[in-house]
Amino acid sequence: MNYKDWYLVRLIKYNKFLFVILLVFCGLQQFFNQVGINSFPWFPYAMYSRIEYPPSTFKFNMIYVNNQPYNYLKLPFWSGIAVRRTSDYYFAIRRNVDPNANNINKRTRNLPEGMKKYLRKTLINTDSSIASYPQWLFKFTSNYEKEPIYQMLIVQEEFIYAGRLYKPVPGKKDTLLVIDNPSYD
Amino acid sequence: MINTIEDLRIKYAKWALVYFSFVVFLRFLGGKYMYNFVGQPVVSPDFDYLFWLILATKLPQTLIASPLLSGIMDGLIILLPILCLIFIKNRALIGVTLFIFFIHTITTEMYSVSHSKTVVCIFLVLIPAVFSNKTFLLLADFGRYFGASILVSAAYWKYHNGALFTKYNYVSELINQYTDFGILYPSKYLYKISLFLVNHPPLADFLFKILFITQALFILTFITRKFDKLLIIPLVGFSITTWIFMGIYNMDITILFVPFWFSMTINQAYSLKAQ
Repeated sequence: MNYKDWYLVRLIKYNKFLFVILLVFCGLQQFFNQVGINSFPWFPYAMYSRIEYPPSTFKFNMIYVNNQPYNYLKLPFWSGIAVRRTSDYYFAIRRNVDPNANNINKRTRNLPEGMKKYLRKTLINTDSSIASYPQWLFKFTSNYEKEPIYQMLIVQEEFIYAGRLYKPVPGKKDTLLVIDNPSYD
Repeated sequence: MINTIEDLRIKYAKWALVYFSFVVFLRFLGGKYMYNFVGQPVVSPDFDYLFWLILATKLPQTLIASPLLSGIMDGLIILLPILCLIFIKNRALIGVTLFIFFIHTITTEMYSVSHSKTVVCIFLVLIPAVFSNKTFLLLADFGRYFGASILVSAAYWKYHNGALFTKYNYVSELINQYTDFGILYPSKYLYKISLFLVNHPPLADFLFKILFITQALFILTFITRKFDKLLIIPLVGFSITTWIFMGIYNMDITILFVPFWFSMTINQAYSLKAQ
């Protein structure tokens, strides 16, 4: 191929401004690769490249609707993801603080005081800001259920992976949340 | 017949917008629309600077708090790609569509506590259609190179991080990936396929190496354009098989077929007139 047809040569020839923009873009992609930060539109997308180990025991938040295990995987793809991830995140905040808080505090520490306060207040969930989550989850789940829900339970259970099966560990249960339907008679 | 760069831009934009409409359809089918998350108070901007910035404007909070605004945003996401196809010469409309899609995506992801990565491909492919003349060609080519680099780097990381040569690593990945299916939905066909692979580790290893080759093949993009149309086969195959074997949604990345399909024409169009 003639060197004049090379992409970078064309870029410089036809649009020097775009050349600079794309160069900065690629430089930032390299930077985010190095530091391992996934910040749109750049990302270090390794796509399952780490060495993985099968779990031995692990904790899993089970949702029970009307005393039956609730299979949110039967919901539309992203609705199911939302049920699992939002509830896991909610309990992570309730247990301690917002899992993002440390990072947000660290990255905003050198900003002017007013801006720092505003960002931390806007970006970090607090117990009071998420207080309505159980009601939302109840309503969200009810939208997909044919039968009325009289109670929702979220229980953290321990599982063991053995014999290529995931089995609950007896006695390792911790009820995290009980949501009763007040209008259910 | 392509006589000008504008002819090519219109053809390119049509293909990209039709596929974009398909992606929007899949999103709605899967529940990824704003109205679905109205009133959800838990928000996660993750460690993403841009998500932080948008959240700091309080726009996502305002949208998700209002059923009316969320409904309008959802309506726009359906309507705008269709309008873009009707008024295909209007480049600004494609820009507006991408902006609305950007806000829609960021908001739904923050409020469903998820963070997709491959959505960037939608922007890589559609942004060029907002521009005309040589800038369109240069950006479409950039989309092709950057898209290919995503896949090539994924292959490189598999080698670098050790997954490629660690015996039966893919089996461990499947076990970790399907925890919730194993507990809640073991009768699902996706889980049964993964269980079959878990029970046949050499086959799983073989498939993982095929996946590596599929991604590594895109290095050809940096050497020649001759195979670009052929590379659409591993591209589509990659998206479909990652869904079948791992339950991972990768349909956003498939939009890269557009710059690959038009690659040769784009290369020749540098010598064409703008209009």
